Amino acid sequence: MTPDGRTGAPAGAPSAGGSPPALELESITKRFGGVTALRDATVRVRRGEVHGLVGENGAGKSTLLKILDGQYPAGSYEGVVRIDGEAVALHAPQDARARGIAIVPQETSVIETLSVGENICFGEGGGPFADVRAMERHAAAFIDQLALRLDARTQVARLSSSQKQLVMIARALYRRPRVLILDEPTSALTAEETARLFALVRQLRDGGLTCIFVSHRLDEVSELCDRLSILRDGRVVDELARADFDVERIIGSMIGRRLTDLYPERTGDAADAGPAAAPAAPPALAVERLSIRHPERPGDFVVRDVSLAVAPGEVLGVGGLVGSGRSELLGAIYGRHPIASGRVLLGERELRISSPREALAAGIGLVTEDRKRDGLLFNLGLRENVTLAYLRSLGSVVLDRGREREIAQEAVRRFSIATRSIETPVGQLSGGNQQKVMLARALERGPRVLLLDEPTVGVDVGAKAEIYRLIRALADAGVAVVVVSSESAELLGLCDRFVVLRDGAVVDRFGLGEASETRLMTAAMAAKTSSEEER
Amino acid sequence: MEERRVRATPGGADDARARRLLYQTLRVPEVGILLALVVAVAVFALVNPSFVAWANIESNVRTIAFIGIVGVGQAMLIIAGEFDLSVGSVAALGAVVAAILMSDHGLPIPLAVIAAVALGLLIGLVNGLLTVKVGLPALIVTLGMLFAARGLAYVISGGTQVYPLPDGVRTLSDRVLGLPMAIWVFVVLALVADVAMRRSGFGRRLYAVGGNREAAQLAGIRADRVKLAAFMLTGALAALAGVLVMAQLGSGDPQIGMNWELAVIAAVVVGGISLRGGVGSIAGALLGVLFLQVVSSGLVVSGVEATLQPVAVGTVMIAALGIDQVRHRRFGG
Amino acid sequence: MWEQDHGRRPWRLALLAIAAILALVTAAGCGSSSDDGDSAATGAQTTATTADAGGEKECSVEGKKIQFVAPLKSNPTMQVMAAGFEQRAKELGFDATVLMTDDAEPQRILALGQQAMTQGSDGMVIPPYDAALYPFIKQASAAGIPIITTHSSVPDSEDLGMKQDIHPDPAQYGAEAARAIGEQIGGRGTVAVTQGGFNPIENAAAEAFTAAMKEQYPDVKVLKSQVEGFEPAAAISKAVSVLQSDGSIVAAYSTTGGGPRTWAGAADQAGKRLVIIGMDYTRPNLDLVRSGKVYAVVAQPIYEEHADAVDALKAAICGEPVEAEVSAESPLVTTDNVDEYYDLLDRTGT
Repeated sequence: MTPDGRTGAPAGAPSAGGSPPALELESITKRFGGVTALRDATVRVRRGEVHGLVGENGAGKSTLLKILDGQYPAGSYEGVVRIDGEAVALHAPQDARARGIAIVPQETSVIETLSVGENICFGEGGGPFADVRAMERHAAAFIDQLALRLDARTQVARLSSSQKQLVMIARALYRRPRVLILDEPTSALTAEETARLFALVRQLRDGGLTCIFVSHRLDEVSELCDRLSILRDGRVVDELARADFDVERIIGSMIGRRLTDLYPERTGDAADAGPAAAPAAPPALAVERLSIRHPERPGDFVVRDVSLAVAPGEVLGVGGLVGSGRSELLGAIYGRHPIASGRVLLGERELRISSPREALAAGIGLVTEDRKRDGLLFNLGLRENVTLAYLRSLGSVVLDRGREREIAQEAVRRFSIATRSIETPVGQLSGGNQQKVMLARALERGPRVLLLDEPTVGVDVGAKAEIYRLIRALADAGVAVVVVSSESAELLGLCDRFVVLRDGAVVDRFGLGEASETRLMTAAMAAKTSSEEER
Repeated sequence: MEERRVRATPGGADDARARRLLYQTLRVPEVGILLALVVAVAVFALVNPSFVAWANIESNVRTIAFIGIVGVGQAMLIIAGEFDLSVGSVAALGAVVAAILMSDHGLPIPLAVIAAVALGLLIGLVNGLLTVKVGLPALIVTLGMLFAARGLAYVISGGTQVYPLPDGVRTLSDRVLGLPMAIWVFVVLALVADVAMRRSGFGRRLYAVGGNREAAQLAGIRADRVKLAAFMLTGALAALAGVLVMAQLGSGDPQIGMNWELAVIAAVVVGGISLRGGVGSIAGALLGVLFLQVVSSGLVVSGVEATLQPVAVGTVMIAALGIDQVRHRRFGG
Repeated sequence: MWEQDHGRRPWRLALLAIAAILALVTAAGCGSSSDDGDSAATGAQTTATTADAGGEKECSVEGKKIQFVAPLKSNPTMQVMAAGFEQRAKELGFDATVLMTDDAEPQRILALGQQAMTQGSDGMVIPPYDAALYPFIKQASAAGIPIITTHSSVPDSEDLGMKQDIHPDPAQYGAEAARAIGEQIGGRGTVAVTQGGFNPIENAAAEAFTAAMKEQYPDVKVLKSQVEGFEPAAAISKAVSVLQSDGSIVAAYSTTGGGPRTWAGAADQAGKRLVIIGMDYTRPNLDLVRSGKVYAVVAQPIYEEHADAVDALKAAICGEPVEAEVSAESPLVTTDNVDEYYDLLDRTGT
């Protein structure tokens, strides 16, 4: 395998200058109702290059990929897609396949019950009655060609998530695509597997394959890509060739300039706390050298040796990428996940709990990241959702309905929830109002510590500002707040102090005075810059 | 009442109000099955007026009293996100055990009944522990219990009816205020359960756990305990229903409750209980039970060929679900 | 911290609960199994040998080993069958053994049959209620052991080699019931018919009933069969519906053993007097006949069948001709002869 194939330009590939780009997305605009996901975005991918696509969450990367994959059919957006200079209309994923575009999605989408070989060759000829043996033979030869360490006859369910990732890549390549799109392929891979994947991609590129690589990890992007397009708020704001790769510049382009009046003013001590990496007052919540085991990989940890503290009236921001252990950290404090080692202190007292029920009783509130999965009860109305954690106080047998209505109405007033009535099913509320319902529930029992996981995900800008104000008001009322967020601007606008996690460990911590989006993102993405410091 | 006002007030503004009223009425989830029930009764009464004769009505109500008692438990359990296939067998076991305890062992009748209900409770506990705590699928656990409990009923009854029973058993099937005891037990249970589901903390927890177990747990609800309680309630009610059938027949027949499990689940689902959990009401579920009884009895009364009756029942069942789905999509609720 | 040992607690609790259930069930089961004990003494595994065999002509079956191989040793009906076999064998001087299983699992019966073969058998009586038993019957016949099958008929398409197939004839008792009902209702009115299910034997009985009624009482209207099923509560409700469907119903015939209870219950609920005929002389059914709620039950000759089967075995062993298929007469039990059947039940200890 070639360590770095940049020198050996493949024979079949024409030089970049003359021929048209292998793939061209020109002036793409895509709207969802009132929201514009892509504005006049243009991306050109040259034949035989690895083209990086970077941007923050919601910048428009996945919209772009879905257009390329035909999931958003031609006609549902403005602009043109060209392959080798020829305009094509992609109406469905099959069209994209027929044009030689193969996409490896971020989520694993393998058929667990079939063998590796069947997964790779699935749907490729053979008629309705597939010859499994033949499939596996073909696949085995193909796997050899790619030098992957897979056995075509193994059932996919038995593979690790990284091996499944490799199966998906092999399946995409089996169709002999002209353009291979890898969406966050390394999130499930170990360092060694990542290195092997990169070697494979380079080898394929040298064989003439064009590749689009989407990643959050700037170190990987810098290592693998030949050129980069940077998206922000639906626009392509920068395009860089490898020679111009510079982490500061990339991050600068990704962040851009933003509205600052979205965020409420800080009051009291926090406003002039300066470069305080430690809380100003005795903490309401302290986490000491906390570790949490990985749910699937024995011996591995999702959170390792994390310590942090929040004082009453303070908002602590926890930065880091998705999968860095942020949610698990909150979950462990809340009694959702067992703690492997370390301890949690609530005030002076050590917190020894094993269920959310006890956490609630101890004065901790949690708002989870995914409203659908573990946040709201979509079978019930606003009233029932708000009072869910408060049932015991509404009567031991029969619920006090009058009191319950009062609580719900009070919540609607206090959080200015836009709803027709307190009986409206929560599914009919907008994302922002759903988020407020969750906040109202978490606050119903007057917690001293509030844990917020992505408090504004899927919420429009107006509701965001309201939620920020609510959070700040809570802090001012003496609640200790911990906010986890992928949006660095949100963290900066809202929080007083910061902790950044990467691979389950704290990689940086700083006060408001030293805080910047660059520092947050740099720490989270492990790009090497001067400001990085361990602990 | 609302319906009458709708017809009584013509004219533009009133028309709009009437339409709104109709719309709101259609939003009530139980309205779908209620309409289906009214239509079914009307059609059968037209074909054969004796369908609405008191004896037939009483017989239908008496029959649903048994299945309805089981349906109350099953509805609660399905709302909590689980289900129990062993109810019919547990009814048989409860009946046979109560019968043997009172006839061969001379146990006082109330004690024998309590023992049978306690047995149902315990079987529910086993179903619940294996499903909720050990994590086996309810389908397998309760299917296994279906065979096991029925088998036990055969073994301890020697494969035949436990007969004769002490005379005192008659008081369990006597008429009270003009109606058989079983109907009263059923009506009281249904009312209590419906109110409990709407107003009590336990009811709310059932809906919460069935709607989103994770979210309920994060809000401090002990989801496992709630499900366990629902399983136990279902088992106890199934055994109680079996004992009441035993009292009516005057013998402990191990064939009691045969095929109840599917009849009950089908009926409560037709009555608006979602198999995915968290949705439906006791009132709706019992209307569903009544509806299926009306249909199967109505088909006999209107002289439909015996071989065609199951076909018709199946078709009507699916149609009722389909119509409710349309109502749900168009009017919500 | 009780929540900490979640992992083991459910198993412990489940075991406790199972233990409690077993305790309750065995407490309930004790009474019946002590009864089983008594009946087992008269039934299963009992060897009846007598020296009283003087009255035979030339052929003596004194000491010949024969077996009755059947399921459900605690079932009263099965016990009556065993009693018919045993009594007759005793009279003829056979060395007879009753081999019965606890449940209706054909595999266990096969095992008992094999056991009898290896220990030596001069003949067997087997009710072939399940097709899974056919291969064994064929095998034993091929090994030269005379076999008499009883109660359930073996389809003509099966060639099993047994000496005789003796069973009640549904056409006979169906017609018999029609005669009795026609007479009781004075030759006019409507009669409802219900079946436990649509199976060949019940269908034959219902068809014979309808045909005989048409022939002998042409003014009587016989409704098409309805399915009452085997769940007692649902059966009664079905019968009430049938009664509502036609106000002129004055009699009912059921081809299943639950029928008497079903129709008595339905008549009760509907407040009607009906002439009811159903199947089987179980104690609850005889009580219904005696109280007048049910006119008659069909007595499948389960006792006689098995006594006759022993006669047939003797004939086969002695090399006399044996008729291949015999249909046993099924009389009606009414208040006139109900006491005989109580006696029969008392005698067989059921």
